[in-house]
Amino acid sequence: MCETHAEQHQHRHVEVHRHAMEANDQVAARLRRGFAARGILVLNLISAPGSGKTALLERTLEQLSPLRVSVLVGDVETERDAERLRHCGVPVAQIVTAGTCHLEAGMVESHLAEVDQRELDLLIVENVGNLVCPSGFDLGEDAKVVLVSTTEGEDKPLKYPAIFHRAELALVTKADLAPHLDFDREALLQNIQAVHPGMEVLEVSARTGLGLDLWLDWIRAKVGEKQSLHV
Amino acid sequence: MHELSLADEVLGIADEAAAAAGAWEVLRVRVGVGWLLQVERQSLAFYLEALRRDYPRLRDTVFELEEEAVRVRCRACGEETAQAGWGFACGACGSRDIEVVAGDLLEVRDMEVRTDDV
Ligand SMILES: Nc1nc2c(ncn2[C@@H]2O[C@H](COP(=O)(O)OP(=O)(O)OP(=O)(O)O)[C@@H](O)[C@H]2O)c(=O)[nH]1
Ligand SMILES: [Mg+2]
Ligand SMILES: [Zn+2]
Repeated sequence: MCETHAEQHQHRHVEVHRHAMEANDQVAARLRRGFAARGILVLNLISAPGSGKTALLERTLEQLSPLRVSVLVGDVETERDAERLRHCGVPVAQIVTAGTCHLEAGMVESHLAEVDQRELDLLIVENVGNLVCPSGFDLGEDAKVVLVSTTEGEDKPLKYPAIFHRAELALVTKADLAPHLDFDREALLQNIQAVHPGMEVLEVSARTGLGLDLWLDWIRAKVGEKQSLHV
Repeated sequence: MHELSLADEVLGIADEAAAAAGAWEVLRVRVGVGWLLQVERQSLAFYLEALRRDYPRLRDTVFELEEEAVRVRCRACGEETAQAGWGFACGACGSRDIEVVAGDLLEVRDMEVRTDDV
């Protein structure tokens, strides 16, 4: 410090107490209020790349009728997932994140205009394939759903505990492949429970249709719950 | 990785708070890193270093990254207890009906700044 100016240079302690997600969380809170006012259930699907999010939606969207459903799908590049899902006869908006490895609440908000919210019971968000980054970004959803495929290894929940802690439901996907793999089903279920005791788990296959009725029932029950709150 | 966007938010918050305090230089910032976030502290430190050249007030700042343990409040017995690992449960009564009250945020806590005012 320079002597002559010492009296002018004050050290000060400043209390801040602000957190890094606050900007995202504010937008998410606004989204959540909007969805609540309209009675729309919002699900945020999160998994590693290629665990089968789009395949699961392709198999189940049509069967959700008469529920009115829209999908927002996030990818780092390309509209390919949206094109796959448009064949299912529901409105789909693609969010291209251009490098960002997760969806943020602001991206959802800016694409909501592409979805007619007045005519909606359920909004499904397919997040960018990534098990780490999306878990901390609230999108105003009612529940996060984490998908883990039988090909990924039983220790996924232990390696990526934050998302298993935060998600309400775990879907074990590609169940049809289990017999062809050294897949230790019991170990996976145990690891999920170790991270999130009491977590609901469903085993599904988009290939054979196994377990899809339970997944559809779970969604319908959630939509019913949300709508009963919205009188 | 998300450490990049987190570092950017931390710098933005620190710079804004410094400007609001009338500071022209930030000497030290204390950042609480919630254990639940699974943030790589080394990686966060790397991005803070890389991105701070955009913020003249933060050019020589020392960032102290302090890990914050997870704490939960029990809805059954009301106790607040620290957690040592995943699979959170009340440390007093064992109930799983808990709410995380600390350790899930990346918080700019406080800082030391240099100001011109007397
Ligand atoms: N055998 C089998 N293959 C599946 C199943 N579900 C998905 N797949 C295959 O897994 C690959 C990835 O599936 P996607 O649905 O694109 O996965 P995703 O999670 O949407 O991928 P990203 O959006 O890129 O993260 C595709 O080749 C699918 O055909 C399943 O139930 N059984
Ligand atoms: Mg996909
Ligand atoms: Zn208790």
